[in-house]
Amino acid sequence: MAQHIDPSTPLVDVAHLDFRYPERALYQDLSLRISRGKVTVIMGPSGCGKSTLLGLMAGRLRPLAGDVCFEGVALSDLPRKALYRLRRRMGMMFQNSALLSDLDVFENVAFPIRENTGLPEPLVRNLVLLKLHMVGLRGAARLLPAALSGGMARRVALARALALDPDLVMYDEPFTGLDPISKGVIAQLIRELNDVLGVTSVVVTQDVREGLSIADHVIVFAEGQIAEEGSAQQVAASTQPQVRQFLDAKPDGPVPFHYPAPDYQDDLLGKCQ
Amino acid sequence: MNWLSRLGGGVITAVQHLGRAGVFLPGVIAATSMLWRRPGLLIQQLYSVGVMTVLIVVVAGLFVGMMLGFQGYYTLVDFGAESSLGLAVALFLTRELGPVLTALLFAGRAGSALTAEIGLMKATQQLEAMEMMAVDPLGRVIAPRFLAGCIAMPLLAALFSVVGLAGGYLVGVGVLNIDGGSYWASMQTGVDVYDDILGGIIKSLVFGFVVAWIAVFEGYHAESSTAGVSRATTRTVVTAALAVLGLDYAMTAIMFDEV
Repeated sequence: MAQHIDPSTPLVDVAHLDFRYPERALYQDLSLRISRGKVTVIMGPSGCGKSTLLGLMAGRLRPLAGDVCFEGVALSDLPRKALYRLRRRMGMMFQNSALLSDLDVFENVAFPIRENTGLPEPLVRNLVLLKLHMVGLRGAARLLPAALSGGMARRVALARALALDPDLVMYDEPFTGLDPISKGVIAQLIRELNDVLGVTSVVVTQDVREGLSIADHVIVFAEGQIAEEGSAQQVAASTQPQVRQFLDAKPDGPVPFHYPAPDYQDDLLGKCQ
Repeated sequence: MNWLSRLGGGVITAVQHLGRAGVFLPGVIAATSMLWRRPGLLIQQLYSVGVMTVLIVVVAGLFVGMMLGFQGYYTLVDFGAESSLGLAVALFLTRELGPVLTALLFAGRAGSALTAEIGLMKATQQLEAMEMMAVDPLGRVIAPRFLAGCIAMPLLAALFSVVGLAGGYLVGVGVLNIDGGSYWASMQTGVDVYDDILGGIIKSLVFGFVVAWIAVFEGYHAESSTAGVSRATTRTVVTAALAVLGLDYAMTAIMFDEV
């Protein structure tokens, strides 16, 4: 689709981004790039705004300042129609799969194809079976989402995210809540589909082992800033205290165990109302 | 002063809510235009919003009509006017009870279901997922449900009135032995198409619009949690019921011409 574009330019360019929710600030002056054809893994403790970043990259959320560019097109000043057109080139796998609960597996994967294209039914069928076969669930085509295990639902969501052959696939916490086998299956799928289909993948996760195992490029977040960035080996060898605490799963460190509170003794004695 | 600020806060929240609902509506109405291309979506919702409400409307209409048969006879017999029972039942049903009671039943049966369904789709990120698949949930999910509500409600109100008339006939003719011919004849001479029937139809159109609007708005703006969806569902039934009764008074007052 975009052959004329220099492959060394980033697919997504986040520049000087400011974003905050009414209750808390998330990012100030955040800049990062997602390179084409690579698996970029974004890690960080929960609540640091990793999923929000995906929302910003998809243009679902608008930054207060700065911008997100998808292939050089700034998302925040795109009209709604153009934004929706651009989203056909993005796929997203949600943390809780977000399958349409009244449609079966086949119809869920067919949904983006049916809604966005006028392809004839036999072609839709073949496309859906192709995508389902890639994630190993062709046999489950007629099951309803309620009948799927967590790992299977995640795989259907992945097939659906790939339904329109996107350039960018975003994974929001793909490993959370899965058993070790399913985690391994998903990790392998992310890696293989990235290489075979030539897509660009962004994985947001807090699973250090799976995250590092599939990453071409790792970005570790701490307190709304990039604490460490580089290849999996570089990040694993990081000496940054915040990164070390996260990678080594230490309960206390730069990220404190205790939520900010008044003095313990004073609190027990009722001195601080 | 605390209660004063709480009162003020409550008013501000209510006004904000109303404002959001107002901003939401034009988008929904604009999105209904896509249903010309996808009539299947509308038909599917007409089934679940309309057809699924038929049974409760028929049963309720029958009981209300039978009740009117007794009450109308009780009042009219003192004046020797029990042969006008058909007229009394018909006027009650077409002018008031048909539209109002159907709207209340509709809010409880279909409105709450719409809110809960949309709210849960939001809470489980299904609406977000649609946005990410370049599908506008306003057109795909909200518009067909809204339009189905607007269409189904007047039809259900008409059905309620028809079944109610039959219920009145059962009691009046079957139990109280008034003349079957005069039951229908009094209706034929006394019911006016413009004043009575058209007024009732206008009411049921307005109620359908308002109930469907409230239901899809509450669902779409429900807080994304179990408690949020249940609160939104409750709000739909309460707000829709109050809105129907309030609007009914207002419209009755406007349509009332001194005879």
